[in-house]
Amino acid sequence: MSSLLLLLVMFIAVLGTPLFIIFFLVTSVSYRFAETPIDLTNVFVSMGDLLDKPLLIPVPLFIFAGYLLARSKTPERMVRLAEALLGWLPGGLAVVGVCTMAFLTAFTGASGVTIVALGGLLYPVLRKRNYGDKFSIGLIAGSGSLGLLFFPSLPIFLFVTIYSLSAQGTAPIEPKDLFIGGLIPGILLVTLYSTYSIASGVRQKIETIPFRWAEVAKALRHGFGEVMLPVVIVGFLMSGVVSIAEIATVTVAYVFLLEVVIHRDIHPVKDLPRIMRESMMLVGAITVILSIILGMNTYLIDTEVPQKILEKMQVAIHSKATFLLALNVFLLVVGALMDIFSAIVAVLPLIIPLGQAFGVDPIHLGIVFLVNLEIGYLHPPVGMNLFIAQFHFRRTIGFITLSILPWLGLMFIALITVTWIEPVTLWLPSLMGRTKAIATAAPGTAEPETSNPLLDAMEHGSGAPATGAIDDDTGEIGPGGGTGTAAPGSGAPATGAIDDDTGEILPAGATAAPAPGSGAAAPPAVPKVDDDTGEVPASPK
Amino acid sequence: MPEETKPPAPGAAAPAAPDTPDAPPGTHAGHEPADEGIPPPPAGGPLRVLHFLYYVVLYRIETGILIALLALVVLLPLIEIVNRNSGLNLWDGMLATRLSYIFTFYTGLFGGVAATRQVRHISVDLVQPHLPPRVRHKLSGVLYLICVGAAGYLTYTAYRWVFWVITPEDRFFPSVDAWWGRDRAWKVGFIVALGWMTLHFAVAGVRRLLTEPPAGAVAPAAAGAAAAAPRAEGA
Repeated sequence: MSSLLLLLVMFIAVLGTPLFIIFFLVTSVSYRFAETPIDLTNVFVSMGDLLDKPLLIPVPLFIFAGYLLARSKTPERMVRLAEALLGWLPGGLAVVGVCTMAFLTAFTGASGVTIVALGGLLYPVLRKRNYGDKFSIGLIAGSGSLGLLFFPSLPIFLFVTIYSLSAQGTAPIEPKDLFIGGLIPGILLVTLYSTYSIASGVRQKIETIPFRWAEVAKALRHGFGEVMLPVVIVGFLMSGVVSIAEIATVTVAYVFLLEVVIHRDIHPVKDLPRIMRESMMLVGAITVILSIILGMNTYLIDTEVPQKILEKMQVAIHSKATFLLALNVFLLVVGALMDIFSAIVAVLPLIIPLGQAFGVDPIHLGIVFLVNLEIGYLHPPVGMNLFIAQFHFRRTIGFITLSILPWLGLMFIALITVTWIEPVTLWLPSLMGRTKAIATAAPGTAEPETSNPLLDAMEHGSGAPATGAIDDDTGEIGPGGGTGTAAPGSGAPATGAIDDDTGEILPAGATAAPAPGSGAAAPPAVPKVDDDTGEVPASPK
Repeated sequence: MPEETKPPAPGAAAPAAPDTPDAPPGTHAGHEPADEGIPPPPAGGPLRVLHFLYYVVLYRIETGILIALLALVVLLPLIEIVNRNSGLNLWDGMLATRLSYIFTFYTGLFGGVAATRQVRHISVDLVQPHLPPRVRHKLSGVLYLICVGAAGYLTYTAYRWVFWVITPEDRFFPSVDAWWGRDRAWKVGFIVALGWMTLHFAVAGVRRLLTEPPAGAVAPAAAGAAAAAPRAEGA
């Protein structure tokens, strides 16, 4: 009966029913037909927890800041500045397009706003400079998700949030780790795109613009506020005046000051209410899915679904390399079918325990995950950017698909590099002093102490000190202790900090959690974060 | 900047939907044009009043709540940053922080209400872009009516949670004795927002089933160079 109902739900999902309704229906059916039926009000227990957590703070604020930037004349100022700086290069204007798209996407979270905001501006300029029609459209459509790995990209915040909510028995990762880890892959993508643009510029014999200091100075004067935005954000963070959770507020305040008060691109009465409402609709679409999915996650954890998937996967997949290959194929399909936000909230909780079991570093997993979804935006037949470009440029979907193929190829090169050469993502974080998160519990074996136990540990946001980590240099376990890991299926204890018998967290250098599939249960090993101070207490003795 | 969209005064000619360029077909739930605009008000009678209440009054209340919540989400932490770093200690920082968490969540929830009114929820774009406009229009009507059932049940579940599971003694702010320190006071918004969404789904569903698709609409996936689907269904 439940299978039939779930099939029916899947059917209406494919037809286009809003995903949050689909997730609610799946949760309802699962709760109703569970071995011991669960009261559906439990969904709201998880939802209610969100009222008291800082997890969602960056979501509305960064989206609002992104919309303010996109709806102001920032795109024009950025294009002008970038053209003044790079126009002398063969294909310089195309490089300008790539860099500007990446900059704006980092703020808009690749919600499609970038293509629309910059497309209308860049396309005529590119055509005027004799860039081919297909090349110009391909560049704009292909770059629409380019800045996903750069600060303050919302998908990264969302990834960290969902990771921290879903990863049982592991140390929470911090947004800054993922941003640092995504820096080289992000730059790699921009470099690949720029190189191709330059090569195309040479091939198409595009005229270059002579470099003029006067124009650079003029463009810089106009775009100075926008150029300073990353500096202001980093400056506030480094100064310690604001926490990571508060940096989104500072960003909004700065962008508001810039676009509404200084440049006056946005009218506070005529434009601002509309932009606020428009931006909050995207926030709403994300929030309702996230809220419902929390209830579903609880059920998945209770019924050990990830563990069952893992057991089945382990029959066919024996190594990390095979797992990464399968992950890429799976995520490319997901990315082509789902929006990035729903993919993160819906699919990530299932991927996390598998990644842990196969020993994939959370940062590596995150970047691979996001690059795949970046590609998903462009991937025929249903990549979202294809439709946006089709609509915006009024071309056939076939034409758009052909135009983005070279850019898609470049994305694949980046994906292969990021997936198979781990240091591309992990070298910079380790250089910046990140301790390696080695905590792994057997997926699905942990008995949750509340509906979402990690909500408690996230009390003070992702900015809480990482716990359960081992210092790469000293080999010591950081404050708060941690859990151990073992190779999947090995059954051998590894370094870590959980007592096998008592399940308690032990001082530095203690024992390990059992390997996945070993049958032994690993209790949740998340040290509690102090509600008042936001700090993790010292290792229990 | 595009013109702001305002609901019409009763009796005024209804404007077309705002041209919201970031929501073309194939993005959120944009298989149908994301926002069909406001239909012309009926000639008279109770339907005209309902039209006014739904498209003008409710819209303004909804937008007002959303703007107020977002303003609070921005301002509370901002004032708290100043308060903390200046050493003024004008207010209880912990309380302000917790309030900002609450308002953030409700901004999302009421953003969901706005997204429902303008049919902007995230969904899977597999089938609808390939369907003829009329089939797409009617199919989305049926799907929204299914959503009415699901969202209605969700609302009822929220009601049970707030009034049956949560007791009047449960406190959200243990140190606050006033009514607003109670758990229920902060969670009753779930029922309101979800009920509101149910209403929007009902209107969207009934409207699609009773009307024809906008003239000139085409299946986005089959659209040619000059045939991108129209954004708005005019008056």
